[in-house]
Amino acid sequence: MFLGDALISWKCKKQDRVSKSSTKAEYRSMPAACAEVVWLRSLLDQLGFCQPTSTPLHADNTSAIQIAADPVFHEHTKHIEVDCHYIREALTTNFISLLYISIDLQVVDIFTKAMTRECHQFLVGKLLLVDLPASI
Amino acid sequence: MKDLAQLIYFLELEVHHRSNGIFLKQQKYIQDLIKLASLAETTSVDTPIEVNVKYRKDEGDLLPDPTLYQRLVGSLIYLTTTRPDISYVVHQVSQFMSSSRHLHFAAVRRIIRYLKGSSTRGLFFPKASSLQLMACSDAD
Repeated sequence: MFLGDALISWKCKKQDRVSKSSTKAEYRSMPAACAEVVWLRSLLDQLGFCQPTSTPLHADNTSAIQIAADPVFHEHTKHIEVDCHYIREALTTNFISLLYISIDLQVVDIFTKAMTRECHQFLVGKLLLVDLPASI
Repeated sequence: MKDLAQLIYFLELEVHHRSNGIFLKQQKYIQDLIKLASLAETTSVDTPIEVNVKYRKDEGDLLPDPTLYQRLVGSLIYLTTTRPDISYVVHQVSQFMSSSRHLHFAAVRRIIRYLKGSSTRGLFFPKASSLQLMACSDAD
């Protein structure tokens, strides 16, 4: 989670339940991120930095975004636990907005898999993980 | 309450105040960790983990004494405070705390060698940054 450009919160977690599909895995990861967003929003609000617009939550799976955005009870989503649909509530109350992000630019890849040197260094830069600049 | 002036060093966190923001690092902590692992003489690597390697619970021989493994992994977990780039690997190796094997220890050594080459790296919080929250989520 970024506040402006600065990385302020992150989490890497082993899936606690079995997922039947990658979409479901993605869909399950969203409420966790969403809960953090809701908490950070209220914290920022208390500190006097109200978030006037909804917080963009980027995911790289379009089907997961669709499941969240469309409240229709799909045949292939009926096995997903009710608590996961928390994300829908956050969407309707405009706390968050779901946006698609291409896999190449998905910064959180650094938390989910091993990567080549180029990829790794690109993402490290994105996280503002830098060497202390001596000049400033 | 007493004002102890600007925060510089707290719980192994080195805080650097600059005109354009705040910089957090744990360079000294990393150096102590390298010493603890007795890897001061080794070369550094560019990534914390090899690509396409899957660590399992029951592969290879058990470590005769897992204490060092556990200490190193514990320290690495604390180090993720300023080094999100190793959080995935640390998470992987921390799954083998109770049955640590030589292969897992090799992975830990690799993480520390990676840190060796990037010990000055830390998190930067720019002052000019906007206050708009942004989130990403992914599963693999």
